[in-house]
Amino acid sequence: MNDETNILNEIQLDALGELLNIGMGAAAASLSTMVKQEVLLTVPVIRIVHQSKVPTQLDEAPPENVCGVKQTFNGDFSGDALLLFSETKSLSLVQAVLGDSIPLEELGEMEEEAITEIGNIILNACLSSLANIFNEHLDSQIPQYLNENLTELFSTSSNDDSFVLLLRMSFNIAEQDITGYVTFIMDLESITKISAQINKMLGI
Amino acid sequence: MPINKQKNSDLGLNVNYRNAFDACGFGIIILDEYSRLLYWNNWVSKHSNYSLESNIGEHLEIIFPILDKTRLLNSIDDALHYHLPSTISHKLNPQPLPLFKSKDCALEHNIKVIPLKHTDDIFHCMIEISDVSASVKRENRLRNILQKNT
Repeated sequence: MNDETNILNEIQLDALGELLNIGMGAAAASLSTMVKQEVLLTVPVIRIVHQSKVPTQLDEAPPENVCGVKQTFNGDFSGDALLLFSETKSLSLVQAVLGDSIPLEELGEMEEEAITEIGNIILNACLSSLANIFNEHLDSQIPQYLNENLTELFSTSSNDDSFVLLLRMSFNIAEQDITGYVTFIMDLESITKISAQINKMLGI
Repeated sequence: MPINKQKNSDLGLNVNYRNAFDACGFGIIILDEYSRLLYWNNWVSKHSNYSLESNIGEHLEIIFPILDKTRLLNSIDDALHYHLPSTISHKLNPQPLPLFKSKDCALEHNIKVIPLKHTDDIFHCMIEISDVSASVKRENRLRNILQKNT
């Protein structure tokens, strides 16, 4: 297994975080128009971890199950982009956006579709930022709603060398702060390409 | 050649596929790289009351002025320029398109916007529209029953 700390250094992660924050601005503007209230999105933390370590990196007490949205992308680099919330946070998000007070067990098809759309707006903003930065096109599949066991979602075979670019995201909406995570699961080759592109952009 | 002068057979849509699309129980709209209408199926004509023939080559927001500065137009831009698909839910975007079940009854719908590779560099996009009126009605009824019982 490769050491994750060698793959992207702090300067590269900072640069990537800044660029993704610009994309978040566009996503926040789009969400604000849609829900007719101010939405702020920021990426305060970005790091790279081995896929199997993601559950312990999300939180001190990681949730058993997570809700979210997945988009598989292909291009010069490829992988899975996911927006994840604990079940409770996803409910807070739906309630903040829709103004409904729906118990979790009643989260219906329509609310799942609303979460899928919110995730789609945010993941598209991240993917188009990456595409813009690197002047590459990334093709993506249709977003999929997921509600899965966190450990199983990031489980790997023993020889798997996949890494995860992990972004902690903060949503500020209707006076509520809701934390979610964006993860990009990519193989070593894709991460190495990103590293090279950031160096090229920074003139290193 | 301006697109509205083209014949349907020049639009690259095989007649058999067109027949299949016209038989679908959901809406399909196909736009070119400049977001001009190439095709929509019978379902869209039926629920919008606009004919395909009189609108081919028009931008979607000219056909449906209600679309100005909406999520649907941003999604079309994402599909054509970034090759990214979008999902537009009825819950967050009530009535993105002016579609009707009957004269006085709006058709609740969800939309998917899907990039379509046309040539190596050029992407078109497909808008898939599904009628969710029955699901909306069912969920509202169930929620009302639950509220009465609590």
